[in-house]
Amino acid sequence: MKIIVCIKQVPESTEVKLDPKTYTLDRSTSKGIINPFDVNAIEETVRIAEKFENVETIALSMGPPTAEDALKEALTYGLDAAYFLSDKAFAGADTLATSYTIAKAIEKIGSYDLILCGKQAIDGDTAQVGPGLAENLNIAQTTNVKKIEFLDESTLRVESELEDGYKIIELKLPAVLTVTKEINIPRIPNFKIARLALKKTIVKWGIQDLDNIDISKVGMDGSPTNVIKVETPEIKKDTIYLKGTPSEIANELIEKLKERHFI
Amino acid sequence: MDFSFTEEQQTLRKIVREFAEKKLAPRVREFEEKGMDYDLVRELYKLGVLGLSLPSKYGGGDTSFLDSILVMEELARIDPAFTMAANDTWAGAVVVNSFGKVSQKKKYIIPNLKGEMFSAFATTEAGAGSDSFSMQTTIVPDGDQFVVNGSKAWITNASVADYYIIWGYTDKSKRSRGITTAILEKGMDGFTFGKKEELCGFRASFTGSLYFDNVRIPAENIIGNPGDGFMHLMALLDAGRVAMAAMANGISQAALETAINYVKQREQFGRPLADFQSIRMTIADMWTELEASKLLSYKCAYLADKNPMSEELIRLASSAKYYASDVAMKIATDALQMCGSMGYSKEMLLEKYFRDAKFMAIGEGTTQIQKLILASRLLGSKKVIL
Amino acid sequence: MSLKVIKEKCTGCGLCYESCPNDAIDFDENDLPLFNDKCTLCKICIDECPQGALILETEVKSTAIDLSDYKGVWIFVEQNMKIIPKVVLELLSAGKDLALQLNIELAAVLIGYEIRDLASTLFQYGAEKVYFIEDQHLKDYRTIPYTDVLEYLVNKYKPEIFLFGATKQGRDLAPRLATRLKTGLTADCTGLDIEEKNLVQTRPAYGGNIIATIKTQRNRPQMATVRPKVFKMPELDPTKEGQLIEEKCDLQETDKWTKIIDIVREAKKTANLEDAQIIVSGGRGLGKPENFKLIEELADSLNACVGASRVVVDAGWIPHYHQVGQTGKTVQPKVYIACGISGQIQHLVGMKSSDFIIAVNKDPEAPIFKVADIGIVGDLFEIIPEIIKKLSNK
Repeated sequence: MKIIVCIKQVPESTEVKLDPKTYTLDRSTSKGIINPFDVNAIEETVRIAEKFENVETIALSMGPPTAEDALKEALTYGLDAAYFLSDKAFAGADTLATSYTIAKAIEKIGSYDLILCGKQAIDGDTAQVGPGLAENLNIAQTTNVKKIEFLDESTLRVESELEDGYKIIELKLPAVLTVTKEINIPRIPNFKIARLALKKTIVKWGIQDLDNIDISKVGMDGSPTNVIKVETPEIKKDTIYLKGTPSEIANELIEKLKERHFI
Repeated sequence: MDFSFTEEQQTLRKIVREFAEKKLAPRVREFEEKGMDYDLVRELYKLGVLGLSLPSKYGGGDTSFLDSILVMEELARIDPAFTMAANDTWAGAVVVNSFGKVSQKKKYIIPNLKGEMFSAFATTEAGAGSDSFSMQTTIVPDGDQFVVNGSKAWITNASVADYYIIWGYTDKSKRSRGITTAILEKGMDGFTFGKKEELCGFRASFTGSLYFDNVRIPAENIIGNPGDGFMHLMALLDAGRVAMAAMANGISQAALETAINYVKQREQFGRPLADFQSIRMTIADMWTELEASKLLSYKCAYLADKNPMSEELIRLASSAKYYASDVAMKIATDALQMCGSMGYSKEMLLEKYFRDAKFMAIGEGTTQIQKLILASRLLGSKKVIL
Repeated sequence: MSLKVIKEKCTGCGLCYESCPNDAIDFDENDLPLFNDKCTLCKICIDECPQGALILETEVKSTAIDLSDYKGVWIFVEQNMKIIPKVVLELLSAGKDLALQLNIELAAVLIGYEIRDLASTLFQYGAEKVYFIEDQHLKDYRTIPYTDVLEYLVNKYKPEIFLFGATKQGRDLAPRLATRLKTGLTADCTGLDIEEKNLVQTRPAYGGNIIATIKTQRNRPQMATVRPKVFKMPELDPTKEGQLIEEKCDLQETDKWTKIIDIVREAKKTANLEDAQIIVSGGRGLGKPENFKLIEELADSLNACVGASRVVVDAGWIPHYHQVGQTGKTVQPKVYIACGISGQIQHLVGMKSSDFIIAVNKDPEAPIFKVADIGIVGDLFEIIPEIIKKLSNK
C-alpha cells in the first residue's frame, strides 16, 4: 500500500508580519513548523505503516525553499521518503492552483492508495486543498476524519465529525482523507529513527519535472481568487477591573451579566 | 574550529525540548511535591535520547559526548532534578562500559539502555564528601566472594535503581590503590536504604543513603581488579563535572528566559521594566555569562571525545563546573529579584530555579574542591590536598 | 507565462544566453534576447541577469469567460432530515442584500429526497426562485453525487454568485465543486459586499489575526462558504411565493461514492463549543486536574460549556475537544469566562471574538486582560465559588 501525506509549512505563531505590497506572508521573519493538523496526518500514516505489511509512506509538500525543513522534520517521524515541490512559478497560488499542482505531483509519484492531509492549515484556514486534490485526482474524499479503520486492503471505515456528533462512512481506495486533531496524539519523534531520516535525500521537483502541466493553472496565474487587501484588526478593550472581596466581586459580576442580558 | 551543531544535534535538541515542554513541564510542581515519575525516564530511553555516547552494540548511539550534554541542558531547562536522576540512571552503564568485561556490559548496559534497569553511582559517605579517601565502606574478599560493609549518603536514585556502582576499600594500607569498584544489586541480602532526604531544592529525585551489612557479592560483580577504583574515579569524574555544568546552564537558561519575558510585560511607573537601565545592564550580563558558561561546557565535551585524559580537560572540566554553578546562582538570584514578589512566590518557577541552582555548587565536587583542583594543576603541584 | 525582456534595462551582455541550459535564447539584431520554445521556465537567466532585465510575464487569457453570461445569486440549501441549519437562512438574508445591489434575483438550490415542501419555506424567507432536484441518490449528503448535480445546475443556469454555509458539509462540498468548475472559492467569510459588480469577500486568516479582502475577478461563479452567526436572520413572510424550477438528474452510483453506515448524534453537553453561547474555560492556574470540577460547576450554573487552554489538554487534565485556541476550536460565544488562563496568543486567537470576555487570574500582567471586558485579578479558588454560590441563590 502507498500512502502520501501532504504537509504544509506554516508560521509557528499566527502573529505574523505581512508584505504590505503583495499581501503575502513575509516568511523571512517567522519560524516555520509543520502545520499541526498535518502532524496528526503524519502520525496516522506512521501508525498504519506500523500496523500493516508493505506500506510505503511518502511526505509531499509545496512551498518556498525554506519549506524543505518541514519535510526534513516529517521524515524524522519515520516516513520512507519525501518529495518537495518548489518553484517560483508555484508562488502566490490559491487553493485551486495549489490543489492542481500537488495533484500533478501525486500523479507523478503514482500508484497511490491513500492521500492524507490535515483538515486545514493554521495560516490560510481554508480547508480547501484536501477536497481540491480529490477532485483533481478524481477519487473519493472524506473530510474531518477522526478515526480510520481498514475493513480490507481497499475498503475503509472512517468516522467523520459533524457539528453534533459524527458519521460512520465506508469508502473505497484510492481516496483523500482530511484528518482532525481528534484522530490521534502525535508521538515525539524517536531519535534513533530521526538520525536515519536525516540521511535521506528529499526529491525536489520544479515545474519542469511535472508531466503534462498546464503552466496557466499554477501559481498566481492559476489562482482565480485574489487577495485585494489585508488588515490586522486591533482589539482594544477598556478593561473594567472588579475589586473588593470575593463576595463583592461576585455580586458585581452577576449584576454586569444581568445588565447585558447574558443571564 | 567549527562552532556549529550538526543537523543531528539540532534534531536531538528539538526532540528533547518537545519532550521536556510537553511531558515534563506540566508536572514540575507535582514532582517537587510527590517525587518524580520514573516512567518518564523510561520514555526517554524509548525515545533513544539517553545513553547516546555508549556503543550501539549495547543500545547506545555511538555519538559524541556533546550530544549527551545537549540532552542534559534541554532537560535541565525544565527540571534539573529529573535530569540528574535520569542521567544517573545510566551513569552506572558508563562505568561498566569504560572498565567492565563484556559479560558485565551485556548484563547491565543492554537492559539499562532499554529502560528496564536503572543505575546509581555511589562514592559519597556521611563522613566522606570532599574528602573521598576517608570513606569507610569496605569491600573485602572472602573465598570466591567479596563482603561489603559500610554506607553511602546523598545518593541519587537510592532505592529506585536496580544496580549500584559503589566504591570501597579492599586494602586501606594501600591508600588510593586499595579502593575497589563494585556492583551491588537491589534486593541483595543486607543491602538496605535510608529514607528520602528532604532537600532545599532537587526535591523530585530520590536522594537517600545506602546501608551495607555484610552484603556478599560474587567476584564477577567487581569491575576491573580490586584496587582499580581510584583510577576509575579519576577517569570518570571529568564527565560528571561537565554534565553538572550542562545542567547548571539549563537552569540559567530557564531563569533568564523567564526574566526576559517578565520584564517585557510588567509595567511600573508607566513603562515596562525592560525600559529601565538597571534591568538592561543586568540582562546583558546574564546573557553574556551564560554564553561563556555554555561555551566552556561544549569545549569540555569536545575534549572528552578527542582527548579524554588530557591535562586540558582536567582543568577545563573543573572550570566549567564551578563557573556554571556560580552563573546559575547569580542568574537565578538576579532573575528572581527582577520579578519581585511574583518571582518570590510559587506562582512562578523562579524560586525553584533559585533553590535548585544552589545545589550546583555542592554536588559532584564542591566549587571549593574544583578551584583547588584547578589551582593545583595551574601552580604545578599534582597534590590536591596540601 | 513566458519570458520577456525589459528593453530599457538590457545591456546586451549575453549572460542569459551563456547561462541557459536549454539553448532557448537567441538574439535579434539589437542584441536583445529572444526566447524560443525550448524554454522550460527554469528562470536561471532571470537570476543571472545583472540588470534584472528579464521577467516572467502573465499572458492575457484569450479564453477568458464572458462574465456577463453569469447572473444570479444562489444559496445552497444544506439540509439534514429536512432540518435546515440557521446559517442557510442567514445566507438568504445576506444573499438578498447582494441581489438587491446587483439588481438580480436571489435563488436557493435545494437538492435531496422527499424535501419538496421545504421550497415554500425558502420562498417565505426571501428566495425568489428555488432550483430543485429530487432523487433517491441524493437522500443523504455525499460529496460526489452532490457535486455532479450542482455542476449540472451551474453550467445550465450560470449564477454569478454561489454561497454555502461554512458548515462541515459546506466545507466538504464547496471546494470539490469549485475545483470541478475551476472557479474561485473563499472560505469562512465574515463579510460580503458588491463593488463594481464584483463580490467582495472578507475573511479571517492566520487564526483570526488578519482580515483578508478577496475577489474572484475572472472566474464564475464567485463561490464562498460563509461563517454561521455573522449575518442576521431574514424576515419570514408567510405570504411570499416564488418560482420552483425542477430539474432531473441521471445519477449512477460508482465506487467513488461513499456509503453512509450510521450517523451518531452526541449529547450537547459534550462541548459543542463552537455553538455555545457561554463558555467557562480553565487553564494552568487551576493547579491540578481535580480542580476542573470548579469550572464544571460554574459552567453548570450558567448553563455553559466547558473550555480549556492547550496547556491543560496537553497535560491530560481534560479531553482535547474542550480545547479553545489555534489548534483547538475557534469560538464566538456571547460570554467567555477565562479562569486561570494566562492568555497566550495561541489561546487568544481561538476566543477573542467572543462578545464579552471575563478574565480571572492572579497575575495582573497576564495577556488575557488585554482582551478582557471585565478583569478580576485575584485567587480564582476564592472568587469562583462565590460566583457559584450567588448564582445558585438567585
